[in-house]
Amino acid sequence: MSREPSDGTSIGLLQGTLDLLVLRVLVAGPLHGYAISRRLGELSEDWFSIDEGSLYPCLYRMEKKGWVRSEEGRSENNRRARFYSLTKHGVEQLETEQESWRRFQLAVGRVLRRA
Amino acid sequence: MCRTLNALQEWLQLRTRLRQEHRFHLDRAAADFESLGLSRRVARRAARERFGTRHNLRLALREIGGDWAGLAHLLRAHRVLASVWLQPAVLLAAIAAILLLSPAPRNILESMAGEALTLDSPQTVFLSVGAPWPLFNGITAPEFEALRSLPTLTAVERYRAIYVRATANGASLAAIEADARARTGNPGIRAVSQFEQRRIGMGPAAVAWALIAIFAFFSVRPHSSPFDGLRWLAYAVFAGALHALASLTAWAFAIEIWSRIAWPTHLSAALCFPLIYVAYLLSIAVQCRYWQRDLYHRCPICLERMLLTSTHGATDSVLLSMAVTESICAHGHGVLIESRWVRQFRQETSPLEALIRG
Repeated sequence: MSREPSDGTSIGLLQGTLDLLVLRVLVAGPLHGYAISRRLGELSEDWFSIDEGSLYPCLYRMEKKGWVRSEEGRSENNRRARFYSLTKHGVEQLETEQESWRRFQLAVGRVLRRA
Repeated sequence: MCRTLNALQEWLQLRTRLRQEHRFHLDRAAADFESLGLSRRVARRAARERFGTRHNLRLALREIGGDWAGLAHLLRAHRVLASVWLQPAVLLAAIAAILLLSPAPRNILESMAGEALTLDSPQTVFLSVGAPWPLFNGITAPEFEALRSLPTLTAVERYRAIYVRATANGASLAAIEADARARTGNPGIRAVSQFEQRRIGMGPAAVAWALIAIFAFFSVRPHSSPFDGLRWLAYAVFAGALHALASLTAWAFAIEIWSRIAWPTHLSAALCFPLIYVAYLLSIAVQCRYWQRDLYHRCPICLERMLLTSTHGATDSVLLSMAVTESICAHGHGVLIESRWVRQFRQETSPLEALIRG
C-alpha cells in the first residue's frame, strides 16, 4: 500500500485508512487518480506513496458504495482522464470515518500514555 | 436477467478502465520525472519502478474482481451457472453469432432445414458430385468459380454449403452437365432438376433424443401421482428441445467450417466432410452424456434435483471408509447414495408415513 521513504523509515497504512485519506483529499474538489496519489504524497511529506495497485481498487470500491462518483474529463495536459469527486453520501461517510479515526487515535494514545 | 447482463458488462469494462488508468498514471509520473531533468527512457523506468508495474495492475484487477476468478464468482453470485436458461441462451447466441458472421447465412439455414427455403422455379438446376455414403463430396472452390463462368447457367450460388444451385438459360440438363464436366475437369459432376434430400443434419440428433427419452423413461420409477408423469413429460420435452437446438448449433458450425475452406482436391474435400460429421456426432455424444449425468442427479420418482449433498469418508480410500456422497429428495421420496463403486437410490419412508401406512 505504501512504500519506504528515502530515509529508510517505513510506514504502513492501517486497514481502511486509505478510504479516509482519499475521501479527505477529494474534499478540495474533483481529482484524477494520479493527482490523488500526488496530493497524498505532498500532504504526508512523502510518508505515503500510494501505488496504483491499491489506489484504483480503493476508488472503484468507493464508487460502488456511492461515496465517490467518476467522470471522464481532460487533464491539465489535455489528456483523457477519469476524475473522481465526493458525493453527498461520501461527505457523510468522511465525517463518520474521521470521527472513528479520532476515537481510535484517542484510545491508542491513552494506552500508550498509561501503560 | 438485466441485472446479470449489467454485471457482465461492468466486468468487461473493468479491465479496460483499469488499463486506461494505469497508462495515464504512468505517463503523468514519467512526465513529472522528465520535468526534473531525467531523460525520457529513464523517466519512464523510474515511473514504472515507483508506481505501476503489470503485476500491480493484475493485483488491482484481482482485488476488484476483474479477473477470471472474479467472473466465475459473478456467475455464481447471479446463479447463472445453475440456471436452466443458460444452455438455451448460449445456444441461441451461438446460432445468432454464426448466422451474423457467416458470409452465406442462407446456406446455413437451408442446411439446417434440410431443404431449400424458397420454392424452386422449373429452370432451377442443382449441381453436385456423386459420392457413396458416408462421403459427401462437395464442389470445390475452383470448380465453383469455373461453374460461375458457364454461359448455360445464371445466378450460380452455393447450395447447402457444398453443392451449387443455378438457373438454366434454356439449355437441357444433359448439355449443362457436359458443359460443367468439361469446364471443371471433374467427370463426377451431376446436374439434376430436383435435389435429392439427404437429411443428415438432424438424423443422429433425433436418434440421440430418442435414446435420451428411453433412458429417462427407464430411469423414472412408476408413481401414483399423475403430476409426476406430467413432470417427466415436461423434462423430456425440455431436454429434447434443448438437444435439438444444440444439434442445430453444432451442424451450423460444421457447415460454416466447411464453407470457409477452399478445398484444393476432391479427396481432401471428400475426407474432410466425414471428419466434420464425426465432430458433429461427438458433440451429440457429449450432450447425451450431459443429460445422462443430469438424470443421475434427479429423484427417479419426481424428477426433482436431489438436494443437501454431503460427502463423508476418505476420498483417497478405495476399500475402507470409502468416500460416499448422499443427497436427498426435497419431496421425501428417498436418498441417493453414490460411492466409487455403487450408485443406489433408497426409498425411505418417514416415521410419520410409516405410522399412517401401518
